[in-house]
Amino acid sequence: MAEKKLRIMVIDDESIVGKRLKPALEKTGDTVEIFEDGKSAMARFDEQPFDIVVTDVRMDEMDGIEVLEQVLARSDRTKVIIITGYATVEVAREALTKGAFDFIAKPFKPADLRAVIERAARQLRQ
Amino acid sequence: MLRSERPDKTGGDFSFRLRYETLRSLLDKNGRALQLLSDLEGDLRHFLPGDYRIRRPLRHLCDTVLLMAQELNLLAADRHTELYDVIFGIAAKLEDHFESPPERPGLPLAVRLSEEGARDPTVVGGKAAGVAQLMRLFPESVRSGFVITTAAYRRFLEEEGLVDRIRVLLSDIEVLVGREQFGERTRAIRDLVRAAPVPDEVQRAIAVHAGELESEAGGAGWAVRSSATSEDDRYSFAGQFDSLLMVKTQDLADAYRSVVASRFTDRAVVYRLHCGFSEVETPMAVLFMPMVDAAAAGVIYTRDPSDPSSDSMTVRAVPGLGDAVVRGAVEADVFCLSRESRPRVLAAKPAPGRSPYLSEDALAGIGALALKAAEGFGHEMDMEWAIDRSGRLWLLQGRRLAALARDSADDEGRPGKGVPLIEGGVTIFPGRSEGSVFWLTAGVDPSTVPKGCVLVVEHPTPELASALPRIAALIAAGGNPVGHLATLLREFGVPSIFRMAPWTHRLEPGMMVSVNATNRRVYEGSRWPEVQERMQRRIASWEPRPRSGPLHELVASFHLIDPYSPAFKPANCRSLHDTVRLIHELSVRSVFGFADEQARLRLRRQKVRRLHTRLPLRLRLIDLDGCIRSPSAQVLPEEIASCPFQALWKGISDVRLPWPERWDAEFPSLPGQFREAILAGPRTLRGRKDSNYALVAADYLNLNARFAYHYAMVDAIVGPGDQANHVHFRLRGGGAADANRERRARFLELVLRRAQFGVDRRGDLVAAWLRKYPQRDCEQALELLGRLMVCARQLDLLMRRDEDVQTFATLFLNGEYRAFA
Repeated sequence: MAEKKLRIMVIDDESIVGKRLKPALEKTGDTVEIFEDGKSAMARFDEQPFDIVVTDVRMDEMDGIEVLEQVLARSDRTKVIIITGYATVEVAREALTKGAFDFIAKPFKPADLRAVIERAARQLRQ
Repeated sequence: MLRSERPDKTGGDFSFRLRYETLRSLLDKNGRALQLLSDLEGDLRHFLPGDYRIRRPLRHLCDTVLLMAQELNLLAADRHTELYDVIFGIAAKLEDHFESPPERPGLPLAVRLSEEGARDPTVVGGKAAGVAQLMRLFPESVRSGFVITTAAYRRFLEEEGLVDRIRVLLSDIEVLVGREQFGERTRAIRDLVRAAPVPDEVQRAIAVHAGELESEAGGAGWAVRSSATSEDDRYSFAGQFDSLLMVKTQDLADAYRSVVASRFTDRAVVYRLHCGFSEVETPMAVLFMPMVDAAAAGVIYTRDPSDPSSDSMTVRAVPGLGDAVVRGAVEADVFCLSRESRPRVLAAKPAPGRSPYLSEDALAGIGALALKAAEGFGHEMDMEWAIDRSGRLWLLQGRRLAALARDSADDEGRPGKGVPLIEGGVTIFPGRSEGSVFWLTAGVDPSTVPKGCVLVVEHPTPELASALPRIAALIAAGGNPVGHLATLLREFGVPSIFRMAPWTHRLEPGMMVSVNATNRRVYEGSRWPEVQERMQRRIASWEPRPRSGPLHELVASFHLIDPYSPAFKPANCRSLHDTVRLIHELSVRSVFGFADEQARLRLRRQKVRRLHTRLPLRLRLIDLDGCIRSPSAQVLPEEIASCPFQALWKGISDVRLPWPERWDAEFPSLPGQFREAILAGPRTLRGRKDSNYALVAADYLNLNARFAYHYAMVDAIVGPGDQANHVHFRLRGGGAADANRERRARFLELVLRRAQFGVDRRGDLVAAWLRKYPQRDCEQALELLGRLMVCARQLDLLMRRDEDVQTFATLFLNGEYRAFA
């Protein structure tokens, strides 16, 4: 069954993360764009919204929680997945309470993230 | 033990370095073990013992603990080899539990009420199992229906990744009861559940079973109700979950999801916390029944719960759907029936202005069937019934009538004034009680209701559920005697009277009153002091129960609380938690022992120094890696190049803190010795004359100290890499009464949680941890600990009331340290 391609945004200030994830997530034919800071990501989001946003929580200027809030303010159907580094439980709790779809703790395999994205996609297609 | 001493290249001695490296390695494992333990403690409430998410970390934990035991024996010259047997013993018991399969294979996702499988409450939940039994007893009078089982519930949560997210949102939630964040968390869970698609197989099961019964459903649609395990057993969960009525067949999957989400309302979560139920113990099934197109409906109790000795039954009825009776939305007509094979109407109390719609015959039919049901079930029943438009009687559900009170003691003939302050109303649960009046106005948080009060409300709403376990009695101006709160009051056994309007205004806040719910009278003053004890017992029995279960006992339970007790030894380790705690303590002791020997032997390079400070602190320092720059025996704080020490010291020496210079002014006669004892209490490890020790290294600190009469431990690794960083803190003891020490512990818990620490509080023992945080965060945490230890040292004497806990926490967090003098 041909399913509509998803637009996925990955935000992480460590460029290696995005570079590693992009090819892995594109395998299923979805469109993936990577950003190294929340501000440029939001500017791009304003041009064209995304279905799924994957963001690291710890970033300098705009952190992942702020990204979450800004994305949901722009589009409440977008699924936001937070990458948590340390102190997973506290951050994950805050993110979920503020409407994140799910969280994934570093370090993770691209396949783990893929599984979370597939669940998000199922909800989008519901 | 010092035989192998010889200088190594760095100038230290070999034995000392080896011990240091071993201790470092052990402490690192200790940190990981504690992390695993705290994760597991949460997970044990959500996953079954055989689940890989339990099995895998537990095996890892056993390995870690075993390695810790080896390292301890390396430090302590094999003095604790019996630990190996203890750990192997626990590990073997754990393996036994792993062998039981996580879930019985092949459990169906759906069963019809008429099937054999519908008898098993662990599969279909209590409510559905009750209906299935009713169906077997009265096949003509129960609608066929089906149940989406607990297996489907688990599938739903698993497949959509909900378990992990729910686990995270429920972690530590017990400390939030009554706070705004509690509601935010539960709402987030409900949103997640409602947004998640119901798995295809479950949707198919709903569609197939509904299709088979569709003809019976007719135009009235479906009733979709929760059926939790444990429900309708001892714990009724009355009204804790939503029921959806008149649902169209095509909307059943959505309804299923909504009912599952209702498991996570504030009330339901508070109730589970109070009853000590874990998530994994209480999976939810959902019951689907075609609705009866009701001409009349209601409930019947096979005994009058407000007067069990009267040998009569009570029927409450309304025209149309019975749901309105249960919700209390409309006033019901009340009938009292005799308990005969053909019951007679003994009394009728119709609601005002309603024309009769139930014949005596119909009432007799309801009563006769209910009596047979009570006989069939073997206990008194609380049942819902409906009569359809053709006059046929249906039973909708039935459960055990909640415990009937035995206290029928009369207050008539008592000496003293016999005139009640107020009188009247309807008994909800009989019995006598005493306490001071507390008015709760609508919209005010029930968590503010104090323990042991007589609670007075205008309207008894189910939101009060969280307060019921701790009140002496409840008086309501209005209220529905068969509503959800009434059921809960019976369940919690709280003497209670509804519909005491218009007299409730005579009950003034703070007034001491005696309530006789049996006779529906309230007196001013204390009338039956002897009932107090019984009431206290009831309140105590509803204190949140410790989490139980075989794995919890073997893993997370904690018994070796007092390191000075003679029972603090391997043979008494009942859990991995005990074992980790014991190994940690013994390892630190063995290093201290080593340091004592070194001090005695006056080694050429003096490793044990004394901290030179103007604060009244006696602290001896053991330099583990040459981080103390000065060669002299007295060391200034600034000469200690230890990152965690510096951070802690910054807190301890904060000039805003009230050190006991003020005691000098206030108590000039206080002997200096006593002041010196600020760090050396009566039961130190090393005897009362010795100082307290701190082990320091560039990135490490272990401080074991007595502040006044309590024992504090700080253990921290702080450096640039996040992964190894940790700050652990423990505090217990104190000279004050138990209640005050516990208040101090609650104060510490509040402050530490606010500072992002994980906290475990048991009685007056507080353990807190911060792990894998960046250096800056760890330093700030240590600074806070420094200030906290100084401020908390007298707090058990200062805090006299429960409210002080919050007050002092706020003062501390606002930097108002003068209040702690």
